[in-house]
Amino acid sequence: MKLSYQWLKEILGKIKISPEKLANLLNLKVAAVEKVKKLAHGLDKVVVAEILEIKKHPQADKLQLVTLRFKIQNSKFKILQVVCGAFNIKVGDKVPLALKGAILPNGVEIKESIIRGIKSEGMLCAEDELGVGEDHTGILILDKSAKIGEKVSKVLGLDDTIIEIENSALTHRPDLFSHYGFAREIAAITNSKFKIQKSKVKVKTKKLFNLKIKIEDPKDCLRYMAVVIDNVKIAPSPIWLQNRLRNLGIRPINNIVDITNYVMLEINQPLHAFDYEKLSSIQNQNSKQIVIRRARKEEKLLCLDGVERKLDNNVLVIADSKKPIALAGIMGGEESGITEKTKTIVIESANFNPVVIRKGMRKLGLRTEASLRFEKGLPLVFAKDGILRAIELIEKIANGKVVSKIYDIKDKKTEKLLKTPKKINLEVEKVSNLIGEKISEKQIVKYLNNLGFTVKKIGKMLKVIVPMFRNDVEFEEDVIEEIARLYGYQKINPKPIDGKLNFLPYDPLLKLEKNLKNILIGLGFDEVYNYSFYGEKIINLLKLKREHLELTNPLNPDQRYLRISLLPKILENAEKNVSFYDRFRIFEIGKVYFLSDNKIEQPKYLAGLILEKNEKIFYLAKGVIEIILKKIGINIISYQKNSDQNYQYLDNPTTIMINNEKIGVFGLIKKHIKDNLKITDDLAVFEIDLEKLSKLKIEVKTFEKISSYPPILRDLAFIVSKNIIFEELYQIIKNFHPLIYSVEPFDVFESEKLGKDVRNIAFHLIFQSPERTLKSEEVEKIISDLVKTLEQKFGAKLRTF
Amino acid sequence: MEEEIKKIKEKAIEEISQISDLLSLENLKRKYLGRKGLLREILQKITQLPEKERPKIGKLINQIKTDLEKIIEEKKTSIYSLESKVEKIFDFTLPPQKIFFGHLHPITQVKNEVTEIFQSMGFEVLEGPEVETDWYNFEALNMPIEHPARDVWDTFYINQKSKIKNSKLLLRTHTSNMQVRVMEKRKPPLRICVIGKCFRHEATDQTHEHTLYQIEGFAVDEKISLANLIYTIKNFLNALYKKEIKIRIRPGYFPFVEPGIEIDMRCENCQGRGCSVCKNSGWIEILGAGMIHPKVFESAGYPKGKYTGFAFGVGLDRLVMMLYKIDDIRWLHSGDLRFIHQF
Ligand SMILES: [Zn+2]
Repeated sequence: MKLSYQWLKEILGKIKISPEKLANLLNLKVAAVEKVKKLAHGLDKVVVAEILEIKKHPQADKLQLVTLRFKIQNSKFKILQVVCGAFNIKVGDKVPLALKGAILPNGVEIKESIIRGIKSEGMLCAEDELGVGEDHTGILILDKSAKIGEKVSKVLGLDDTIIEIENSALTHRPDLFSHYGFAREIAAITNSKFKIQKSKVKVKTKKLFNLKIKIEDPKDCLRYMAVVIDNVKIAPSPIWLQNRLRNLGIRPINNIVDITNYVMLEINQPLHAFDYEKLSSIQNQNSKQIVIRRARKEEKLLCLDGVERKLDNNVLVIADSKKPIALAGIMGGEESGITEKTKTIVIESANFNPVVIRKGMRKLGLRTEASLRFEKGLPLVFAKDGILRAIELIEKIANGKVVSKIYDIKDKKTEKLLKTPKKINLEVEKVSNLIGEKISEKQIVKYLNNLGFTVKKIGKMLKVIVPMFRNDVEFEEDVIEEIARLYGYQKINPKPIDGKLNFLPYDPLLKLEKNLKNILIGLGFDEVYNYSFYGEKIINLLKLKREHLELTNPLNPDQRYLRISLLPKILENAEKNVSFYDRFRIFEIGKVYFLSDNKIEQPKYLAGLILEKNEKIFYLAKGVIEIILKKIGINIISYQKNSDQNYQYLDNPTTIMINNEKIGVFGLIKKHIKDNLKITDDLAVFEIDLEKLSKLKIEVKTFEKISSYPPILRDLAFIVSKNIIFEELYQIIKNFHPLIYSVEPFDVFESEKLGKDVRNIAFHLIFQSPERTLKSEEVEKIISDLVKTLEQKFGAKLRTF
Repeated sequence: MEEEIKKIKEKAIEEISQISDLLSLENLKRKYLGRKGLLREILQKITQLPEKERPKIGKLINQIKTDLEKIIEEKKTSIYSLESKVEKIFDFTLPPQKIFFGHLHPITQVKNEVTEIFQSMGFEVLEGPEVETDWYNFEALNMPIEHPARDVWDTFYINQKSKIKNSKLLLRTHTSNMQVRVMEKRKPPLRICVIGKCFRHEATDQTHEHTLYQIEGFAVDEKISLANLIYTIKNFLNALYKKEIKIRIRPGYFPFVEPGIEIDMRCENCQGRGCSVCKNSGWIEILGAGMIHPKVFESAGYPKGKYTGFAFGVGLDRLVMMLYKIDDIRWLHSGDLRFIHQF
C-alpha cells in the first residue's frame, strides 16, 4: 500500500513533519512501514526531448536510430541521436531523455556508447527505468504539453515522497487502504482536527435511463450502488491525475478508468465503469439489466487483462441479462469495458462478501487492487462515498451528466447495519488492567474522540460508539488496542508477572531427549536436523512398506511424503559426508509420522549411524546402544531377530527389547544400498522409539556393598561349537555359583588351527565373597565343576594356554 | 693420619666441583659419606691410634663430614638451578591424541539456552504435534476459513483426513497451535513455552526455509497485562544475549491477539547505526506478540471475560543465525558435518 506524502498533505491542509518523521510515527502508532522513497531521486539529468526523426539501424533489425531535439535549462536547442530498442514511438512524440552522466533510479549510468557501430549519445526511458512504475513495454510517451528541456521529474510530478506500508499489517484495517484512511490516522496521532470534504453532488433525477439491478443472494453482495452517466468524453486524464496514479503504481488509461482508480486510492472504494451500450437490453423494455450472481458452469469471460477465464460456481460475477460482464470485485470484462467511443457509462460501487471474493481470487489465481480491498471486508458506507466522489470527478473532468437515479440495492440487514452504529461497553479499569499502565478516563475519551469514536458515560461504564468506517472494531479489546497504540507502546513500563508459583513438571520426553543428546555427543556423534519429508525414490530404494502421509501440495516430488523413519534422510547425510570424512557418527532426534488404526501417530524417534572401517561394527553399534540405555538407567536389555517390513534394507536386523517391549532396531546397511549411496566403509544404524522409552519405569539404583575381602581372578578359554550362541554359555557361567562375582568375555575368535566348526570364547572370572577371604581350593573346585558342566551341556573344551 | 684425612677432604671437594649432575653427586656422596664410604673406613681405623689422639681425630672426621654434607647440599642446589636454567626442549606443540567428541546442532544449543531461560521465569516447556488440524492451527485462533491473514502462513496440507472435528490435516505453521490445546485441558494460571518444528509452504533460498523452528510463549491468568509481556520479552532477550538489549515496540496485526504488537531489537551488529544486517534501519524485527484474543479463549471454552493472557512468537532459527552470524539458512538442514563441526 503506497501513500503519497503530497496527497496526504493536500487532504490534511498542512503537515509540519517531514516524510521520514511521518513514516516513523506511522510505524510506531499505526502500521509497519516498508520503505520511504523519494521519487525524483536519480532523475536530475533526464529531460523532455522531442523526436525529430526515426530511422532503421543499418546493422540491427531490432534497433532504431532516433534523432531528438532538447535543451538544458536556458541553453539553445541541441540535437542528438540515440539508438533505441523500443518501437512505440513516432516523430513528434515527447519522451524522457537520459543524458550522459545520469544515474537512473535502477543504478544504470548513462554513457555515450557505440551500439552495433552507431554512436548513441543518451537513452530514452521506459516507466520502470524512471522508477515510477513497472512498465517496460515501451518508452514512456509524455504529454504534448510538456516543455522541451524541462526536467522529467517536474513534468511527471515526481516532487513527491512515497511511504510504503506493509499490506499484511493492514489485514484488519480495511479502512486504511486509502489516503483518507491514513489522513484520519495522522490527524488522530498528531492530535489535529480532520474532516473529510463530503462530495457536494446533487443529482436531479431525470430517469432517462433505467437499470434493473438484481442481487441473487444477498449474502454474496451486501450493497450494490450504480448510476448511469451520459455524454462522457473519453480522453487522457489531466496530467496531475495521471502523475498521481503513476506515482502510486497504477498505469493511467483514460479519464473514466483513471477516476475510478483515483477514488479507490482516495476513499478505498473500488469502482467499476461499464459501457452502457454494451449491456444487453431487456426485451421490449427501455432498460438494461445487471445481475449479481454466481457464475454458471462452463461460463467464460474475457477479462480486461486479455485473458479468457473459465468460471464456475465459486466465482461471483456481474452479468447482464445474457452473460457475465465482470468478475465481481476482481476485474472487469473486456467487452463491456470503456473504449474511446464510449458515450454512456454505468458506474458500479458495491460491497461484496469478502469470503466469496477470496474464494474467487484463489480459484482464478488472480489478485488485483480491487480484490485486495474487497477480501478484507469493506465498510458499507464507502460505497456511497465512492459513487458520489466519482460522479463529482466525472462531471468535472469528463464532462459527464447523470441521467439516472443513484441505485442503492441492499437488503434489510444491510439497511439496519447502516442505521445502527456498533456500541461497545468499556470498563475504564479493564483498560489499565490489560495494558498494565494507569490511563485516566479523560485520556481514554480523548484518544477515542481523536479516532472518530463517540464516548458516553453511563454509570461506571463508558459506552463507545464505533464510527461506521471502523468495521474491524468488535470487542472491548479492539477498543483497548486503539487506546494503547495512541498512548504509545513504548511508554509502557515492563512489570513482572504476579501469580502463584506452581510446580513445573518437565516433559519427560523433552528431558530424555536432552539427556540422550548429551550422551551421544560424548560418544562422538554429531547431531543433524533433517527435513521431515522425502520422495518416492528413497521409499523405493529402501522398500519402505508402511503407508506414508502425503502432502497435497509438495514443493517438489522429493518432498512429497512425511517420513516414517529418520533413517532414510540420515543415509542421505552419510552419502553427502563420505566424500569429506573417512569416519563419522551421526544422530538425529525428531518426529516421524504415520497412520495407526486410522489415527495419526507422530512419535519421536532417535536414529544413529556409524560409518568406519570396522568388521565388528555391528557389535560397536550394540555397545553404543547399551551405553546409551545404561546411562539413562536401563540395565536389562534383550534382543530378537527383527522382521519389520520397514527395515528390509538392513543386514542382521535386530530388535532391541526392554521388558518384553520392542523399543528399537539396529543392524547393518545392505551391500546394494551402500553401493547405491557410493559408500564402501562399514555402516551400522539404529533407531529407537523415544516415546516408548520415556514411558518405561526406571528403577532408582540401590547401592551395592563393596566387598573388603580380596578377589581371586581366573581366565578361562573354551573351544565350543559355533552353533552354541554366546548368551547361553554366558548365562550358565554367570549364574553357576554365588561366589562368581563377575564374568567378562574378552576374546572371541575363530581359526583354522582350532578347527572348522568351532570358535574360542574366553572369559575373565572374578570370585569374591562379601563375608570372607576365599581359599584357592574352593575356587579350583568351582572351576572344575563349571568346566564339567559346560562340557556336558555344550561339548565345550577348556583350552590350556 | 690427620694428613690422610685432609687429603680425603681436598679430593672430595675437587671431585664435587667437577660434577654437574645429580646422579654423580649422589654417587660421590655415597663414596665419601656412605655406610661403606671413605670417612667411615677412616673412622674404623681410629682404634689403631693412641688413646690420646682419638678425640681430636674423631672431631676432625666429624667436622669434615659436616663440611662435606654442606658442600654437597650447596652443589645440589646449584645443579637444580642450573638444570632449570638450561631447559631441555619439550615439544608441546605436537598434536594431541585424537579424541572424538560429537557436536550438538546449533539449533539444539540455542534451544537448550532458551529452555533454561524460560524455565527460570517459571514457564513450562512443551513441544506439541507437528501434524495438526486446521482447527488448532487456524480456526481456533480466530482465523476462519478464507481469513485473509492466512496468506501470511502458506501451508502444507496433507491428503489424509483427520478424525478430529472433521478438520483438514496440515503441517503446523507455528507453535501457536498449542495455545488452545493446552487451554482446553488446563485452567489458568498458565505459563507455557512451546518450542518446535514448523512448516511454511515457500520455496527455499538464502533467507527462506519451508522448515523452521519457533518459540511460542503464552501466559494466562486473571490479570496478565501488556506490561507483563514486555517484561518477559525484555528479560528473555537480555538473558539470551547476556547484556541489556534495547527494544522497540510497534503495533502489529495477528488475528489471535488484541492488542497486537511487534517487537524489534536494536541491531547488535551496528549498535543501531544502520548496516546491511538491519537493512540500514538500526532495528531487527524479532517477534510478534499481543494479548490473547477473546475468540481464542472462547475456542478453549474459558468463561467470557474471566482471564487475560499474553502470547508471543519468535523464530528460533533466526536467533541462531543472528547469534552465530550464519549467512544462509539452508545450512541448518544441510546435514553437512563441516557445518556442524563448527559449533
Ligand atoms: Zn545493523
